[in-house]
Parts: sequence; C-alpha cells; structure tokens
Amino acid sequence: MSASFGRISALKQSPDLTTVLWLLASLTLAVAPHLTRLPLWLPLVFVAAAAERLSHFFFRRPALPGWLRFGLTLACLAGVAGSYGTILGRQAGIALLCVMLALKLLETYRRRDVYLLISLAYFVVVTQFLFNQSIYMSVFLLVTVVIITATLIVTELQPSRERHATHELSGLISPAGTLRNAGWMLLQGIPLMIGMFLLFPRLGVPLWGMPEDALYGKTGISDRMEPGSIRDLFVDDSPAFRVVFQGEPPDQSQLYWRGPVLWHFDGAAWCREAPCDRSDRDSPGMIGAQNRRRPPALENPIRYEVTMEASQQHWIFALDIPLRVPAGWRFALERDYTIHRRRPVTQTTVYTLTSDPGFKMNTRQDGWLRNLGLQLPPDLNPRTREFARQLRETHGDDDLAIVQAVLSRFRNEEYFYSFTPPPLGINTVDDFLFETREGYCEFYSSSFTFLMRAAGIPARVVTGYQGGLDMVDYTLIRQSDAHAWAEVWLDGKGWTRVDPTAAVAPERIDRGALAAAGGRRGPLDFEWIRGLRNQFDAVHRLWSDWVVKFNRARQRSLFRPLGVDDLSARFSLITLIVLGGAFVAVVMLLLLRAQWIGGLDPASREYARFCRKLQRSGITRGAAEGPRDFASRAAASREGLAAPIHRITDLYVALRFQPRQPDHALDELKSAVRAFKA
Amino acid sequence: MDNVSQAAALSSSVEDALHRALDQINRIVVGKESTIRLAMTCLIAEGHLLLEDVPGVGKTTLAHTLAVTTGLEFQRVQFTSDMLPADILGITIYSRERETFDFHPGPIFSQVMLADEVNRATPKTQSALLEAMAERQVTIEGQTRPLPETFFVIATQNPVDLAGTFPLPDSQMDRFLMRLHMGYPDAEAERRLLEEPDRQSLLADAVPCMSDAQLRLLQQRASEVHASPALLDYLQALIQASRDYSGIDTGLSPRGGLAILRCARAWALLDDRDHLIPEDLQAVFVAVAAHRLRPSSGNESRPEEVAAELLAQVPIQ
Repeated sequence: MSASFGRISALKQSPDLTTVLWLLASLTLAVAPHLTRLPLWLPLVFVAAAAERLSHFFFRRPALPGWLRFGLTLACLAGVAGSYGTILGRQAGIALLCVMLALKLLETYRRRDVYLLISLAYFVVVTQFLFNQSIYMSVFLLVTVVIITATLIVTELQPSRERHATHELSGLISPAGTLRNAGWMLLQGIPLMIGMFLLFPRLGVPLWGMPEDALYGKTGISDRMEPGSIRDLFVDDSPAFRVVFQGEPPDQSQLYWRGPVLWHFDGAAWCREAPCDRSDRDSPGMIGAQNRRRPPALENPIRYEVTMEASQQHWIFALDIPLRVPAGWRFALERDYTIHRRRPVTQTTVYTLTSDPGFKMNTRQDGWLRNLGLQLPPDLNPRTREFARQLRETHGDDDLAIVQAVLSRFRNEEYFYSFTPPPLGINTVDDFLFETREGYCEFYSSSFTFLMRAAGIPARVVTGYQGGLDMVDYTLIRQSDAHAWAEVWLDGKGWTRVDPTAAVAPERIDRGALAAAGGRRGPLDFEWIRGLRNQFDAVHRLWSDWVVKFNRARQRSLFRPLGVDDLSARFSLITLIVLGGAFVAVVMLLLLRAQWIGGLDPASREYARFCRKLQRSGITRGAAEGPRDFASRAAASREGLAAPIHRITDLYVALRFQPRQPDHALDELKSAVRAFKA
Repeated sequence: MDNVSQAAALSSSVEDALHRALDQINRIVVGKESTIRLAMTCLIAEGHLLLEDVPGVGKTTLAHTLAVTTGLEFQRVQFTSDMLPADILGITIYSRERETFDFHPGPIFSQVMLADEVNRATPKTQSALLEAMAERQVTIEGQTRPLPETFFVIATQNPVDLAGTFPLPDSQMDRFLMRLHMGYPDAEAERRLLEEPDRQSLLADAVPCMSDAQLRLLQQRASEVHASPALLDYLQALIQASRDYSGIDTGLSPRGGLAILRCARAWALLDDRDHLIPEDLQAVFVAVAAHRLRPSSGNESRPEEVAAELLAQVPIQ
C-alpha cells in the first residue's frame, strides 16, 4: 500500500529541468516533420510555450492563470479553424494536435503531465505516416522514438535522481546512457514489431479513407508545360518509375518514355487541350480514346512492367509507342497514344505494357487532329511566322525538308543547351529562336513545334522522360530524366518523333541531361553523391516493395510457401498471440537468467561460464552437483582436459570457500575460463 | 619435551594416527568404508551415534572397534525392558566399613558406551541415558557428577524388532548427531568375512592408534574448519528447503542445521582440508538430517530417501 501511495505522490511531483529539457527535445523532433504542413504561426506558439515552460526554472513566476490558458486555447482553436477553414480532417487535425501539445506544455506542473505529453509525442510520430512513408522519414522517426523513450526513462528516474547522489546513477542518467538504454529497449521490441508487421491482418483497402494526396509522391510531369516546369525536375533525382523489361532493354537513345501529348499553346504554356487553365481532368477529354476493336499487329513488340511512383496525375508513362495497355476500364489509350488512367496515381502502381518503337501513328490523316495540330495563338511571335513562311517558300511542299532545315539550323547555328537560359519576353518563341538561343528541351520542343505549325505542318509537343539508369535487373527513370520533344505529321509516315534537343545537344540523348548541361547542377551535385543516390534506389525499392506496399496480396504470397493458404484474420490473430506469448516467455526467461547470473558473485559468474562451455560439449553439471564432484566427473569423461578443469575448479573453490583467497585468483580464474575450450 | 614441541609432535602425527585408525577399523569391519568414515566423523564432531539395522550386520563390532582403535575406555550395556536408570547411571550404596554412602558409577561413566538395543528399555531408562548424553553430566540423588571429557555413546536399535520395544521419541532422536544404517556387506566383503578369521580374534589383536590428546586435537581442529559465506548460503538453502519441501512435515531445526555444519567440518578434516566445500555438506547430510525429518503422512519414502531427494533439489550457486 505504501509503495503505491508513494508512486502516486511521485506522479504529483513537479518535473525537474532535466525532464523538461528531454521532453522539449522529444516534442520538437516529433512535430518537426509536420512544420512544412503547418501554418506559420503555429511553430511560434510552440516556441513561446516552450520558452514559458523553461522560464519557470530561471525566474520564480507563478504559472499562467487559468483564464489566460483558456483564452489561449480558444484563440488557437480559432487560429486552426481560420487557417484550414475547419478543425476536422487530416491537416487541420494535425495542426490541432500540435497546438494542443504546445498548450499542454503551459500546464505541465506534474510528472503525470509529462507522461501524457510523452504519449502524445508517440502519437504525433505515428501521424507522420499519413503524409510520408519513405525510408528516410522512417529512419528519422525511429530516432525520434528512441529519444521519446529516453525521455520516458528520464522522467521515470526522476525520483531516484533526487534520492541518490548523482554519481551512483551516473551510468544510468547520463544522456548517452539513457539513449543506450532506450535504444536497447526498442531493439528488444523489434522481433515483436516484425511479427506484428508480417502477421497483422491486412485490409484490401486502407482502414481510414485516405485522401488522394495522402500518399507521398512528386508531381513530376503533368499535362501542362510552361517555362521552367521541366527545369525544376532536372534537379530532382527521385525516382519517377522503374521498368523491368521482358528481354533485352532497348538502346539508351531509344528510351523515350511517352507521357501526355500537348496540343494547345497559348503563347506561354503548352497544355493538353484548350483552355490551358484547366489543369487537371478526371476523364479523357476531347482527344478521346482509341477505337480498340482492331488492335494493330505488332512487328517488334517490347513487353515490360512499369512500377510507377505516386504522381497524383492521371497520366502514366510508356515506352514510345505504347500499343497494348492493361485491359479493363482503368486505362485508356487515347488517340494520340497518351495513356490516361481513370483515377490519379496516388500510390505506387504496377502495370504491364507492350510497345513497338517502329509503329507508325495515324498514317491516314485525321482532319480533326490535323486541325488541333495546327492551332497557334493569334498575333504572337511575328518573326517566327515570317521565318516559317520563308521556309515554306524555299522548300515548297516538302514537309520533311522543312523539318530537316530547322534541325540543321539548330545543329549548325549558335544554339546552346543550358539549364540557366536568359528570360524571354512575351514573344517567347521569337526571343528564343532569334535572340537568346539558349535553353533546354522545353524551349527547343516548344519553338520547334510552333515553327512547324506556322509552316503548316501538323505538330505537337510530347512530354515524358528520356533515358534511364540500368540497375542490372531493372531500369530506373528519375524525375531528372524529364524531357520534352516534338512530333510532326508527315505524309506516309504519320506522326513522327523529332527531338530538336538532340540536334543541339546529342549528348542529352546519349548520356542524359546532366552530361548535356556540362556537369553539376548545384553546389552539392557531385558525381559520388549521385552514384550513392542511384545505388540507394535499390534499397528504396526494397523498402517500397516490402514495407510500404506490404498489402494483403504480398502477405499471402509470403505465407503461401509455409503452407498457409488461408490467411484469415483469425489465423493471423492466433499466430500473433502464440508468437507474442512465446516471445514474452523467452524474454522473461532471459531476464530471469540475467538476474540469476547478475546476482552471482564474480567467481560464480566465471564458473557458470565454464560450466556452460562444458555443457556445450555434452557434460552438464547437475544443479546440486558440488564443484569437486563435477570436476572429477568432467575430467573422467574428458581426460585431455583434466588439468584445466581441475585448475579452474581449484581457483573457484579457493575463491568461494577458502578462508584466504590467493592473490589474483579471480583474474586467473577469468583468464583460465576464457582460455578453456571444451 | 616442552609444550610447544609436544604440540608440534602431536600435530605432525595426528593425521597419521587418524589414517592408521581408519585403516585398522576398515580391516576389521570390511566393506563399510563410508559408514566407518561417517562414524569417525561423528566421533570427531563430538556427537553421539545411532546405528540402526537388523542384528548381525556388525553394529557392535563397529562400535567396539571404534572404541579400541581410538584408545578409549569402552563399556557395553545390553538394554532390556526391565532396566532401571540406576543400571546405567550407577547407584549409591551404604558402606558398612566406612559408614558412608559410596557412589558406584554405572556404565555411563566411560569414554565410549555402547548402548545395545536402546529401544528395548522403558522410556524412563531411555530418558536417563539421553539426558546424560545431552548434558554430559549425571545428577544422582542431588549430586551432579560430570562425565568423562570424551564421552561418546553409540546406540544401536533394531527397526524390525517391534514387539517389546519402546521407539525413541523424535525429541530424543535429536540427541544423536547421526543415524547410520550398516546394511548388508557386498559380495566381496561377505567373502572376506567368511574366509578370514573370526572378527572377535581380529578385534583382540587391535591396537589403539591414537591418544586422548590426539583425539581432542582433532576435535579442536574440526571446529576450526572454515565455513565461507557462500557455503553457509548453501546450508541455509538446504535447511530452508527441508522446511518448505512438500514431502516433509517437520523440517530441520536450528540445532539440526548446526549438527550438519559440525559434521561437515569433521568430514572436511578427514579429507585434510581447512575449509568446507558443498560436497562436505552433501556427504554428511543424509546421516545427520534423515532422523530429524518427519516425512509427511502421505509420503511412503523412508526419511533417508527424502533427505537424498532434498539434496538433489537444492542447487549449489
């Protein structure tokens, strides 16, 4: 009884500075990843609350009055509601949680409150997974959990800290010791964690209705291209998708990954259809799906599986030119060979496609598409229109000659490939073609297409990725491989790919954008970092395959080889309970053993080690067998070891039972036991 | 010889004397090394010995040989149901010549007394003997007379002879430091018994192997054998286990614990050691503890078996 009263009164104790400092560190780390998603004023509230809490230790001040705390709470509620328009939902909910965490700091008078905050900190850590499930975040959160657990230890030890002189507990309460303890505790939980992870019943769909942007993902290429949109991708080495070819992968220069085809130009931005301000759509638009009743015969089919990262877009990427898409209503191959997915890609998605690089698109001109391919914004870029007219005059009806003339102009005149082009005026194409002459794929494809249209040749911009990194068993396409090229309609050839960037900087196509830009893209962009990153992608893939995407199907496939076909919730739970029970039992046994061994004096501990060594060779000491008896028995069965066995026993008996111990007997015993090999 | 050199001579020869004594006893009582060693231990631990077995297995021979070999004065008393305490303690008789009451000491006034078939005497007589054993003195008609400094009782009793016996009560069993069973000799020993001359003639040839002083020196040394804290932990664990053990009604008393320690010390001395090891406790445990334990009513095992079980259950740490 007195012990439990003592414990309750210890909970009423106010936390000391050490506890509060640890607590602040934990909370900061737990909240930190949310910062980018929180309104700006919220971190300020947090910092102010932390400062207020700390100030109690330095100035003797009464705690804030109740009405003030109440008022602050109302103000913060209003603040969250004002920032998000609601206090419900994921984002606002997190903001609310964080602000309440900060306000709770203001009234952390007792250790009980500290425990509450620690529990909340654990919860905040979990909420990060609603936004980000990457391996980096997981590692960061793991570190955070170690620190929160250390805080728990620090809080728990506060009464002992006060009772004992510091030096007695120094091993336990030094920050390093605490962290080590916390880490060790969590390490012990890992088998349980893995068991739970593998066995916990998985639902086909997430338990909570996760909003579409819940899963992480870069936007990547969209159905809108405006100056700078691709350049932002060049510096982003994160993976866009991964491809596993069935058979030999095609040559690097053939790796054009077709994304949305852009038809409409408003003078500044290219987009899929007019008007350009409609940035996203849920259904195929005017372009429309292909008539799929008569799939073309394939001459040179390439089958491959694409694992696409979440992009929040409806477009999925395929090797030029995709001809077969997965059956069903979810994918639509549109008439310009853009693949549209009915639902945006909000999580990593796997699909199998078939492409034929030699396929000729729309050899018979479709009048409606032809008109779309000749659209131009009125009045803009007069010089380009004039130049196009001249080209048409020079080459007459020969469309191909016009294309080649423009390409040779890019190739032979002073045009440069650069990620840092000078700014353009309102007549973007004029400025680029005749003034700055410096830019990257976006500039070249855009102006080339404009020029073609001005010359009366149907043309369109294709966005996507070009290239890919051969990772031996798969090909990695990163955001930095983003590219834009053009397609023109030529009589007899249909829509034909023309990559004006290749004319200016052939190395862009052969070796990637980086080589074309001549080296580094930023101050920290070193070759070895890039290499490391690419290697790390393999780890990343494992993580995403086995952790993030560990769903019901994968769970089944994991247990099928073990003869478990029906992975019902009941089976999972029973197995979890059995394994959990076994785990707890093993831990208990280990603890008991540790306690037993730990309770022994040093000589007995060494002797126990010696007995274990003999046990491994089949000579087991009975619990009630005296050391001399055991030594005679062991020596009799292992005659070669008689001398060391008797020597160790002599030393042990001397240390344990003789009135005067010989000098250094313990050291001798230790070294003898260490040297002993049964 | 001065005292110091005398003591040195004594101590140098004491081990020899002890081993010579053991050799001689083993020659006469064949095939009973461990029993003999325990009996010698009991003597050195200054306790009394109870030999329990069927007639004719050599109880008396052992007692007699032990007495002769240690050079102690020996008296044998056959207990019967009509014995009175005075038959053991002695009586005071009026002497007409000197006109005084003279005390005629009984057989108890000897260094080794063999009390044969002690359970045939009435409780009154038994208790007179046992009181003398405990107090090492005898009070007759208001006068207290000390017994000899070395006073060793070897009592025998027949377990099977139930008719006309008065079993020793538990409280009095406790007066005996050890209870030993002789058991039948093994085949080889049996053969020697049959081949060799009569034990009585061998006994007649036996010579004392040690002096009074040497025996007392041994007893003194035994009490000095070192018992380390670790060993006392083990002894305490044994005592506690005897009290907690489900097969036992009455566990070891503190006196029982002391008895084990005393015997173990003497046993260690016989092994020429100045410190106790767990094996010493184990060697004497059954002989010392068994007759002090009362197995619970449902337990069919003999106390010796229960004691051995106990020993096997308590781990040495």
